[in-house]
Amino acid sequence: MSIKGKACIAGVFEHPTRKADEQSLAQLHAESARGALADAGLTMADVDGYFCAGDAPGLGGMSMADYMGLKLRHVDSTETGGSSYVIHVGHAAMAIAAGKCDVALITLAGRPRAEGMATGTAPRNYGAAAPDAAFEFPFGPTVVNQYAMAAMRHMHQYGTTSAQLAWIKVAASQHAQHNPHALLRDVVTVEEVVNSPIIADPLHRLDCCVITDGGGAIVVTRPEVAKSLKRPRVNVLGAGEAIKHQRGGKIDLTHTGAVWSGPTAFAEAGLRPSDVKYVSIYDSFTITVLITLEDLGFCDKGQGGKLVADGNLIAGVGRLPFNTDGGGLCNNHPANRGGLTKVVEAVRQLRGEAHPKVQVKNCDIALAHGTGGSLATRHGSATLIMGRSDA
Amino acid sequence: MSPTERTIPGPSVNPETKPFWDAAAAGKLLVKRCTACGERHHYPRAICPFCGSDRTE
Repeated sequence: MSIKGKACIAGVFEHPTRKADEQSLAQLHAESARGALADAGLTMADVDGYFCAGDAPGLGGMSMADYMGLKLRHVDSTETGGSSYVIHVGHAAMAIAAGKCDVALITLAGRPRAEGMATGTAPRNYGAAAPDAAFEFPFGPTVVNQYAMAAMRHMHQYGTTSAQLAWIKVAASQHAQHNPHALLRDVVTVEEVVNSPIIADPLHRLDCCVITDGGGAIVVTRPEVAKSLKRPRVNVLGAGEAIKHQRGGKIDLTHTGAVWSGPTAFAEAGLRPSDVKYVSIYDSFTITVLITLEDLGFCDKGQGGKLVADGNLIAGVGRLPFNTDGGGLCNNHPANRGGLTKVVEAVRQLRGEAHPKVQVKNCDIALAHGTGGSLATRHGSATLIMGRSDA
Repeated sequence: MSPTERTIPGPSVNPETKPFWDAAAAGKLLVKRCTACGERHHYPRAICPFCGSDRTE
């Protein structure tokens, strides 16, 4: 069974806060839910399916259903880090296609800034029972040094340069200048990126995403429900998911799970990369974008440096506009999980509601991709292809 | 942080990985091999990540 044409994205919301000193975690989830439901023209009472991941407080779906007073007949708490919410859209479409729910709500929220969390630069301990923990944690693996390891290998194998990676941040900053909510709105140059301090060689400070509080939500509905609402419909056309891991130690650092999730999503949609007018690519770090674009087939393996350079990712300038909200690199990375906002900006593009300075002309097909976990060692990959209702 | 300030905490050991760490303490690096499929793997597991067999040594 395919999900193509079986579900629509009827509402989206990106919480405007970037530092939530005064709000609780559950409150941020619920405020985001209210925003997306209001965008769709629905209410909490319409929701019969709920999706959340590891950022949800307490017992996840149970705690949030309790807080929001939801009456559910379908719940899914698939956890693949920051890619979870991209997977959730596909899972929501599947649940709707199978008749398990009619209105699915997906929420994300977090307060890493308010809590003073050392997000990317302190070793992350997933607990002694994590089977790989004893073999890595004593050496201090951080998020940034694990991504840096993949970047270093890509540079060694394919000749990718720091200047090429810097173009990804430059493009994001060009877009963020038009987003009043973006944490970083200043346009930066390649020189400024490569001259910013090294955090984990070869990644500089400006190769890293922002740390923000906030959240977001998505409402996925049965097409008949979406047609009864006033907002422009966005159809779910294809979804793919994959886990990339260390393969018993025989790991290749130069590719991601997108080599599997991408073709799955394109096959389901009946489309090719050349059909896509806009891409939202998870940008925890610049290298994440470069490797993902290669793996999704937007260029040959190893040619990502050339693809992203010279403004090619800038809306109105290049041939592959990406992350027109400023992405995680400049705008927002709520809860250290960037997948949900990737879907939100893709929906804005398909509705023609992106900022006029970055709106892609005739944007009928868009792709959102999430990468959650560590690029080098283990992560979840999720690819989602969406279309305007006339596409 | 200078290298001299850095302390590396000891690993958490469980029954599945104890032979590896005991050997490491004796200066020996062990790599597990599956006698069913012949593949080597690391970190050490009781169940082979390549074929699912429990015949690992």
